[in-house]
Amino acid sequence: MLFEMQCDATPADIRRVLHSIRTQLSERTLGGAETITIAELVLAEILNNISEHAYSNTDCGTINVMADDLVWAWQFHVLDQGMAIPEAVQLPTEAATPEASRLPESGFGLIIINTLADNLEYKRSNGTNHLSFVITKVPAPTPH
Amino acid sequence: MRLTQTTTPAGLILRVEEARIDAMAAIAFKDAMRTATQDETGRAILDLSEVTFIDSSGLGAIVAALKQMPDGTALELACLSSAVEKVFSLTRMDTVFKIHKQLPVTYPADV
Repeated sequence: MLFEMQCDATPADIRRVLHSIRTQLSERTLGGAETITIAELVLAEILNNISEHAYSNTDCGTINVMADDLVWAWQFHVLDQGMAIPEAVQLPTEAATPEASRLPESGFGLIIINTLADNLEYKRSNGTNHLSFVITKVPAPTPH
Repeated sequence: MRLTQTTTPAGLILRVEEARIDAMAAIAFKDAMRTATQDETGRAILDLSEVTFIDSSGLGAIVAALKQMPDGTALELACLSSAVEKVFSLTRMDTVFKIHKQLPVTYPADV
């Protein structure tokens, strides 16, 4: 395992853990800046969703994030003990072309997750939500 | 949320002096934008050159800032980092905003 981290389901602690994860990924693995950014974006959306939805009924939830380095990709596991994801939540496959008069201010998070993460899987067991996904490494530009 | 305001011939430049517009910063950003643009009569340009990361909450706050602009005014974006640009293109919000690679220096004839 590359690392395991824990954070409180609060915006401030999510920001802290994302910074630690970025540091771990850049110092301990071979993955370019673009892949790290993609991983941070997906993790930010998942952690924010857990904070806002799974733990919407409590102020003191914790989230565990684990990562494995698969060489060609990183595999992440995100665990929380909040409410289950309702079955009605469907991941949109792509963004709709927005109408200027009715611009959405939310719903962007699921688009980001579903577009950037591969092999997204969700399991619920013993009161724990277990979300796993893969971030495929983008090849670094070849130096000239 | 630090937002530096500069009145220029190109319009009101609003420079975000923070590295992140994320879930933690979104509400403060939206409030700062409302205060900065409520008396605007022409074009405001949001300079994002210091911003290295936005999430969906930050994007939602920028869209909200656009929607709360006074009638007849414009909100445009400038100097997006590659990470910020990626979020705009994934969500197709790059088709909603006028996005400048560099800060414009002259006022356009069509605003």
